[in-house]
Amino acid sequence: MMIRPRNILPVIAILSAAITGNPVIMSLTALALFPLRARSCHGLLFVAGGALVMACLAGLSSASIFFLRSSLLALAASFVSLRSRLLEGIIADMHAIRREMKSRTVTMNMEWIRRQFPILPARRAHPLAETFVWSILLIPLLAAFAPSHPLSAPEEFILESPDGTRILTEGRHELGRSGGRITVDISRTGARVLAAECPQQRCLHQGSIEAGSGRSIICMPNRFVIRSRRKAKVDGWTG
Amino acid sequence: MDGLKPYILMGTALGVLESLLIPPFLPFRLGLANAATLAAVLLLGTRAGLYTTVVRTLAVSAITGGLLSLPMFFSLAGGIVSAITMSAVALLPVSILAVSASGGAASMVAQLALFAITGSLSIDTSLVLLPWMSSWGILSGLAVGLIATRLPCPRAEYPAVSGSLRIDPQVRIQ
Repeated sequence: MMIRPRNILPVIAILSAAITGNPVIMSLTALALFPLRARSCHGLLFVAGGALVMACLAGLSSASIFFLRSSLLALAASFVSLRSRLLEGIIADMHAIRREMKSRTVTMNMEWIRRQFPILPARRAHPLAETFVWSILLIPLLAAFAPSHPLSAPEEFILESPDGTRILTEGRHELGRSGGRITVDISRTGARVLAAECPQQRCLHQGSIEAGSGRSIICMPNRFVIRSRRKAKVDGWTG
Repeated sequence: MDGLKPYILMGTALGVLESLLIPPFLPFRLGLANAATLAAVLLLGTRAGLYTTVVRTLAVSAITGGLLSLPMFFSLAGGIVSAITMSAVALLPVSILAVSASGGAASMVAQLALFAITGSLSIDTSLVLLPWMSSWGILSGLAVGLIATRLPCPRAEYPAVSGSLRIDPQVRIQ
């Protein structure tokens, strides 16, 4: 076993992961270990053996069990990486092999080649196909903006007054100071002012506003704005 | 099927890793184990990807302690749908990232549909969640694709091209 950074680093990484007992560090360790090549495997074997001895000596405490588990995980990763290459390299190989097979048209037929390569991933993405796939992927995102989507469903009316903003529930509300009192009727589908004490009665003339329309009724004497608002509704997450 | 063991092993390791990384009550899962499925689909074909998915889901749920439970069946359905989708998309000339992103989105959509069918979520709620879940699926699919390009894959061995089969180009007919 040569002493090189790439042989030492995984040992240090595993030790730090095991000592801190942090799953994040541990997972980063395992990810960093994946592209390693054969030689570091010996170092990992050493660590795993050490972990086993430690577990036997210390009794199976939780720390030693964690140590054992993480080193076994890393060991599995390094065994996998023993005779392996990265995905793109293999795809390049497949293309080379296929090209060579195609050039030998004497014995090979295309059916045989197709059987050898069930799916031959593209080496270079075609921009048209790429755009097609990504635009299909964006369709569910656009569903959020569809008018019939529950996310954009009309739900509630809010009252903006000098005292603050609050949500008006369904039913009748008496709002405002005496002398300028207004009666507001809120239903599922709309809101309107039933009666007003002020002389001009402008809020009455504004009629009813539909739920979700984004329109509003304004009462000038009280400085009220009754506005319909779209409400995102996520309830019943657990059923 | 030959040559599936490394992929199943990788998928199980990644799945266990993810269960350590992310607390189980979160609805958003990364689907790290999908990287192994992606590699198997790209290099060995659809059937290999399906085998890998099923076996690694069973193995991960057995290790983390939820064998034959409801979440296992949901993740199984999502994994199978995503494997089929990825193998369909990989037939187009697209990049690996696009393939894995579509797989992630498809698994999320399939799981939501299953939630709505079984009645654990109402249809309205799952429609509300659809954009969020599918965008999360795309994001996690990108992450999985990045991981999959770093995964070590066993060397594909094709006996037909080993050694002496490299013939002289002069002999070529047609």
